[in-house]
Amino acid sequence: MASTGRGRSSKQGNGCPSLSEQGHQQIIDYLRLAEESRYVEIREAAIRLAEQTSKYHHKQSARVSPNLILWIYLILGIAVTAANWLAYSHYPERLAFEVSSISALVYLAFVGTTLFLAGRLSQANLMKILGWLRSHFKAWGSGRDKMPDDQKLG
Amino acid sequence: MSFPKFERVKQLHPGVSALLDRLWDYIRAQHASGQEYIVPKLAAAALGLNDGEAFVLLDLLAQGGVLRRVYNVYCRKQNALLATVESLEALDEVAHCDFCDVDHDPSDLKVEIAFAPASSDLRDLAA
Repeated sequence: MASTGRGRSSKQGNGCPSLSEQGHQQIIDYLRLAEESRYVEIREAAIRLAEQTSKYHHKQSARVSPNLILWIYLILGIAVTAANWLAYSHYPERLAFEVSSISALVYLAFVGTTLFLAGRLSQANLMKILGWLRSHFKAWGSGRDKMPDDQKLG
Repeated sequence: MSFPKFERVKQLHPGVSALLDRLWDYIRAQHASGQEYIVPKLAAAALGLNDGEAFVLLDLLAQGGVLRRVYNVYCRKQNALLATVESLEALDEVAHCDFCDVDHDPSDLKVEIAFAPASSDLRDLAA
């Protein structure tokens, strides 16, 4: 063997795929060919391997670590739950319900947006979540006008 | 001489056990002739399979602990083997070429997927 690497990344900004991308592409090309095999077991193995390779590649090429995103979801989820608890313990029930449902919907919208950006949620489903949020705000706005002054937030 | 890990792979994939036997003979012949790596394209040509079929069969042996998948990096200019790495991420650490004494762009390098024996047991079989 003539040499080994010296720790420099080969990723280029000139549109040329990095060596790891070239390697990944070779695997995908092989698996595409294998999916045309007349042997059922080879086709099944190729599909399994393609799924594993795709998952692994997504994980490796993620700009933000999936574990970090999960932690953010968890921390925000706990924060929303705590906010709901505070709302119920400090405000009238009707107002607390409104605040809780809005905070839960904002949380859902955040999760939906990040999943959409990661390619895990379709645009239609994201719009559905945002639609819930919008309709809830509208309903809350119109309900708030009818509410007695002492129950209005702020 | 039987090789338990190989027999286990055959048991797990009975539908391709005849192909695995042929591939096994090919692997042993390659090692007997001093070839360090099994290249899917060459195995496919020797066994009359398509490249993808040979790759999947070799990968089944890798999953069974008989072989290991490696990535050989070649300098295109010199057509010389620069490095062999065991993971895709490690490929991006390969850049310097002692033949040309420069840090190559990825476009000047070529990656080739190959398979090598996972342990010395297999090398002994070829002997």
